Amino acid sequence: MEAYYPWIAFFLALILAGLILIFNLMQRGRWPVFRDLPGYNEVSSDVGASVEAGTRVHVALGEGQIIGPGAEAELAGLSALAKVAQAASISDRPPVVTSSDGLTSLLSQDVMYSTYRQMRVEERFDHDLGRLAGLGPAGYTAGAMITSSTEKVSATFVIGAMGAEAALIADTGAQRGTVIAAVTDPVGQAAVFATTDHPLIGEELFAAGAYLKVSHTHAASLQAQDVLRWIAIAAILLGALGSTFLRLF
Amino acid sequence: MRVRSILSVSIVVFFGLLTLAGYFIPFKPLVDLGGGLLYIAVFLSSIALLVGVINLSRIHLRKAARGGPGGGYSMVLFASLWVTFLVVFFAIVQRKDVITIWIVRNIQLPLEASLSALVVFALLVGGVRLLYRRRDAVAFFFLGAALIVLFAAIPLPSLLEEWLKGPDYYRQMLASVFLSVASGGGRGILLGMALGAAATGLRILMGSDRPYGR
Repeated sequence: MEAYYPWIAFFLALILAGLILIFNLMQRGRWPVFRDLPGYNEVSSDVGASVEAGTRVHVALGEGQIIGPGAEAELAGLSALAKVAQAASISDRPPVVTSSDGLTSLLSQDVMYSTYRQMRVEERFDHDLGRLAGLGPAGYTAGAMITSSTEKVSATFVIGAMGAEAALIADTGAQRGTVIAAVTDPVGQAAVFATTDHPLIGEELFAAGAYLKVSHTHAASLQAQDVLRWIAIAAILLGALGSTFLRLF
Repeated sequence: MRVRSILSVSIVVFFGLLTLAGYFIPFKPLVDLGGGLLYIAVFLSSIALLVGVINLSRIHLRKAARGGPGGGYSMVLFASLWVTFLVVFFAIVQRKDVITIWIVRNIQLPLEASLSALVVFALLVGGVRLLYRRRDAVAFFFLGAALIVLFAAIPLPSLLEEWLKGPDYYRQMLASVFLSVASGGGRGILLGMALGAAATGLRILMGSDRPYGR
């Protein structure tokens, strides 16, 4: 059976890609309605409040690496960053982005620069705002905690691969303003659930692009995920029923 | 500028699909090519890491030079970073692991342990605050589950343990219910995350999500 795993994965990827394309074509400029997620609803108001208060937004992309564990969470975080940077582009104090990976920090600079260039305010962009806060979980956490306290931060978005240390970043952020957190590690999810007002659990991290209206493809991919999830649920239920039936008779 | 954008998307999609094909198709030249591409990517990633570290030390050196709040800490970070770098570099050149091991054991590990201890306090305070912030059913379930796990970790006096021991049937039933619920919930979350991760990767390969400049 294990020999077929790559092919099963290949066909699932093909189905997912097909569904994303179909939903993308079906949207025709309209934005689909998703269930309410208070965490993402608060993003725009938090960014707006920080712009008005003349403070910064801190986007903590976590300890993941683009080439290595946590890449998917970093990419989801970078998508969200584009929208946060766009909303905060009118501020005198642009967002500060921290990560634990050299490539992620370079990409965060690139995403911010591209966004600022699109908004025609590239003179406000500073490369130091997309920074490597520290290496390893402990080093990154310490660096991100210091960033919150020294950069006049009033809103913290923790979005990326992070363990229980996310609680420390969330706690430091909460002392200075609001915190919205979405992390991948199960222990980290429990930690942010306990320490933040608006935790985002499980796959909600990957819904950032769709909820923050980054692009129609993000919305289409969220719809495609929902369809595949229902297919998986049906397959699990049918498998359980089939197995029980075979044992009984 | 548009040409640059098309070129970067083409490079990402072409090499991304080529590497992915190496995973799915057991054709040796393709697998080797995928491995080679990954090797180049890892090499570039280590250069990016060095750039990031230089950028980090530049930020802290500037902060230390300005002399504002936290400037002293920035100076300590800058000095310890480069002193450690030089010491470990010469230790590697002279093939003396003793110094590197000493630094890890006596400086890095105690610092990381202290930070881990802080996490416990942050979680404890967060758990207490949770009752004030969110008084909904989910928060109470969460706290209840956390308390059960904590109590289960406490070594009980032998008498109490004997008293709690019921017939095996009930204990097995309880354990199976709790394990089924917990593992079912965990698998549900993992399933959703796996789909989310796959969709994120596919968006990059389709060229619709571009976290490398537009």
